[in-house]
Amino acid sequence: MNMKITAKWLGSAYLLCVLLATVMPGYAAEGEKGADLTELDIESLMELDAQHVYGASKYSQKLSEAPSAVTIITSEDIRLFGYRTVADALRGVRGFHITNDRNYRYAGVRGFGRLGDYNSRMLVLIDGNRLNNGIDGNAPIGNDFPIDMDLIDRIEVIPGPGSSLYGSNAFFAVINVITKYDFDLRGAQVSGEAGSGRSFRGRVSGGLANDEGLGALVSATGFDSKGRSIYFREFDTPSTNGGWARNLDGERGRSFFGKVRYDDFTLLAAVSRRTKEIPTAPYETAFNDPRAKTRDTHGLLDLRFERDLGSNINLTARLYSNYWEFRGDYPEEGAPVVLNRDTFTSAGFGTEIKAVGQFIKGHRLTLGLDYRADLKRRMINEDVDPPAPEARLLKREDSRTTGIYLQDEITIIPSVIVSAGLRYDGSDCGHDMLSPRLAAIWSITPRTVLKAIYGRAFRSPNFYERMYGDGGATSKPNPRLNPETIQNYELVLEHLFLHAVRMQVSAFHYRIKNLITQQTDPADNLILYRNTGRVRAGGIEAEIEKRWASGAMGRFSYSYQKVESLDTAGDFPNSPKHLAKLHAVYPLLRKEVFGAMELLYIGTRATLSGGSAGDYLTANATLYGAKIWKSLDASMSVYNIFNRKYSDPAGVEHRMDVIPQEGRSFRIKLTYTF
Amino acid sequence: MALLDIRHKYGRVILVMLAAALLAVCAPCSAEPPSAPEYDVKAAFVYNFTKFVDWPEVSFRNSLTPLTICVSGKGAVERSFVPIKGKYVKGREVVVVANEQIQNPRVCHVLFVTSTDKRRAAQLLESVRGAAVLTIGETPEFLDYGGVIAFTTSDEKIRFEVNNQAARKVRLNISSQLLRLADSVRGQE
Repeated sequence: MNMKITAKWLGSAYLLCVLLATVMPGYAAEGEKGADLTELDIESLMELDAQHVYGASKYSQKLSEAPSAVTIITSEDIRLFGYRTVADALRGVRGFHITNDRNYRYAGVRGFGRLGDYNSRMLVLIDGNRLNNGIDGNAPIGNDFPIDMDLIDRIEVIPGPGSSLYGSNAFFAVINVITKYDFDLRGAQVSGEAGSGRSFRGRVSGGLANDEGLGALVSATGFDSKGRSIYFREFDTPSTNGGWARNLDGERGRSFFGKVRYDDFTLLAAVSRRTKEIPTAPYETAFNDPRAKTRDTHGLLDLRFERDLGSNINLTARLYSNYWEFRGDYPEEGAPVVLNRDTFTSAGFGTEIKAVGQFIKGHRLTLGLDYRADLKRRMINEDVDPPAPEARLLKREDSRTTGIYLQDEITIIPSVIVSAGLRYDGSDCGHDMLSPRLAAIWSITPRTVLKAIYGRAFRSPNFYERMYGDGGATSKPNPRLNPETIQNYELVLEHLFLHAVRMQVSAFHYRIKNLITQQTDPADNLILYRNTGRVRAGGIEAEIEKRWASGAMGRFSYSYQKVESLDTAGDFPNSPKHLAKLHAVYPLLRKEVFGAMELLYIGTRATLSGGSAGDYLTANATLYGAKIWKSLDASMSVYNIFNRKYSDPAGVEHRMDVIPQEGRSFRIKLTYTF
Repeated sequence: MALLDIRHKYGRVILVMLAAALLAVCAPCSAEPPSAPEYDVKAAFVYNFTKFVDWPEVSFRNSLTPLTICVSGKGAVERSFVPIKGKYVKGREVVVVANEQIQNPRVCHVLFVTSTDKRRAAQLLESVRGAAVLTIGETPEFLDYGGVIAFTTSDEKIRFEVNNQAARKVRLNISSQLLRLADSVRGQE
C-alpha cells in the first residue's frame, strides 16, 4: 500500500473515532457536591461522573502514586496486539527500542541501547525473581524467555533507576513479569500457532482448584521455527557462499511451568530451553556453518509466603533457587574449521523478606532484606570437533550479595507525598554500594499529578566482563573493573482530561559514570571491558491515550532523547533520537472480535563503524476473536505489513555493520479451553 | 525539526498522528460537569443493590436481624459508607463492617471487595464460597472467580456487570429490574 494513502486512512480512522465519541450524548446529570447520594436511584447514579479521587487505585485509569511513570502491559494487550515475545511488548512502550542481532533481543531505554550489553542494565523479574543471570547479567526477552506469553498476567515496566529497591542491574528500568494463577484458567486449554518461516508452537495448560484453598496451574510449551535464509553483503564472496546464510536462522525450544498455591503460600517452578542457530558468524567464526548455535537453559524455583497482618501491614517472604546454562557452539575460521564451545553455568539461591505498612501514621514504610548467593559460576571453553584432550576451565567464582533497603512514603499533606528510599548492597567480591531515591508527588488537582524524581543506580561488573578470556584467541579478562553508576533527574506530569483521555509528559536527564564498555585493545587486538567514562543524556516523552466504553482504545506516544559520550566524539551508537508509537484497538463484532494495530517509528541509529542504520516505520496488525466457535479463541496477525526492509546496528563481535531484520510475516493462533 | 518537515518521507504520517492526538485532547475541552467522589457513588450503588436482592430465609435469624454490609480492602472506603449506616432496607437496619472488624465473612450479607489484587480477591471469594453472600468487586475478572457483581468504569461513569449464575448458585435472587440496568448479565434466565 502506498505510504500516503495508508497515512491518510489511519489518520482519518482515528479522527472519526474521536469525533464520534465527542458527539455521543450522555452528559452528567445534576449531582451537586454534598447532595445525599443515597437518595438517588440507580439510574441517576449511573449518570454521575465519578471523580478518580487521588489514592483510588484501579486497573485501568490510574493516576499513580508510584515514584515513576509506570506502564502496564496486560494479558489482554498481549492477545489483542499479537505480541510473540516480551521484546514485542516492550517495543510498543514509549522510550524503548529493540535491537535484534538474530540471536538475542536487547532493549534500549531512553536512547541507551549499547551493543554488547546483554540487557544487563535493565532488571527483568519474574514474579519478583531476578532473571538477569549471574555470569553476563543478560536477561532474556525473546523466545529464550522462560515463560510462555499466554501465562503472563501483566508486565510492569518501571523506567528509571530502581537500585534503591532492587540493587544491581536496575539501571535504566525494572521490568516485572507477573504470571497467572490457576483461577485465571479453570480447566484445560490447548493452543496452537503457525507462522512464517515455518514456525510452529503448541501449548497445553491446565488449572484446577479444590474447595480447601489449594490451586495449581501447569503448562507445557514447545516451538520450532525453521527461519529463513539471509543475505549479508559483507560476506558476498565466492568462498563464503555469496553472502547467503542458508536456513541458519532457526530456533526451537520447550518450557514447563507450574504454580501451586495453598493458603498464603505459592510455589513457582519454571524450566525452559531454547536453541538458536546463528547466521551472522560472530567472533570470527566460519560463515554459513550449520553448527553455529547457542543454547540457553533456565530454571527457577520460588516459594513465597504473603500475608496481610492487619492494619495495612503486608509481609512477604521468599526463598528461591535459580539455574542458568549457556552453551555456544562456534565453528572457528581456519583450515580445518575447529568447533569451539563455550559453556557458562550459574546456579544460585537466595531469600528476601519484605514488610510494607503504615507503621507510623502518615508514613508508608517498606523494609526489606535481600540475600543472594551466586554459586557454581563457571565458564568452560573446549574444542569439540576435533576434540581437544581436555576442557579449559576459564574461571570459577562464587559470590554473595546482601542488600538492605528502606523506603518511606510520607504524606505531608493529603495532596503531597514525599518518597525517600535507600538501599545498601554489600558483595563479597565487589564493592559496597549505596543507592538513594527521592521523589515528590503533588496532586495539584484530583486529575493532575506532578512528580519530581531523583535516583541513583548502579550496575556491578559481572563475571563475564571481569573474567572472560579464551586464552588469547579473541578476548581477555579485566578483574579490576568498578561498578557503573547513573544519576537520573526526572519531572513527570500526568493529567486526566474529560472523557477518559489520559496524558503524560515527562522530561529526564541522566549522567553515567564509569561506564563499562567492550573495547578492542590496539596492543594485542583482543576484546576486553573497561570503565571508559562518562555519558550525559536528556530527553522528553509524551503520551496520550483514550479508552472508549466499547473497548476501543487509541494511544500515541512520542519521545525525543539525546545521548552523548563525554569522552569520545561522534554519535552515540544505537541511540535513536526520535521514537513515535501509535496503538489502536477497535471492536468489530459486538465486543467479541477486535482489530488492533501498532504503528512504530524508530529513528536513525548510529553504528559502530560510524555509519548508520536508517530510520523506519513498521506496522503490525492483529485480528482477535474470543469464543468465535464454542470456546475457541482465534487470532491472525501480520507483522511488518509494509514489508519494510530495515536493519539494526551490529555489535563488536560482528563483521557486518548492520543486521537486516525480518520482512513481512504472519501468524495464526488458535486456543481452545475445555 | 526535520522530522516534521512535510517533505520528509514520514513527515506526513507523524503530522497526521499528532493532529489526531491533539484533536482527542481539545475535543472534550468544555466545562466540567458536576461530579462526586468515586467511592461515595459506589457506596450508594451498593445500598441500592440491596433493595433489589432477596436473600434465602436462613440468612436472617429473625425479622430484627440487621443487613450486614462488609467492606474489605482499602481503608479509605469505609468513610464513604457512613451515610449508609443506620438506613433501612426492606425493614432491616443496615450495618457496615470493615476490614479487621469482619469476624467471619460468611456471615456478611454483602461483601464489597475493593482490593484490586487478584490473589486477595480470589482468596476472599473462596472464603465465602457456597454462602449466600452478595459479593461485589471492582475488576473484570471478579465475575470469573465467582463474584456476583463487578463495578466497571466507562467514560468516568460507574457501571456494573452481573454474574446471575453465581447468584443463583447460592440462592440469591436478583430482581430483573436490576439486571436490566447492568451492562452485561451472565447466566441470564
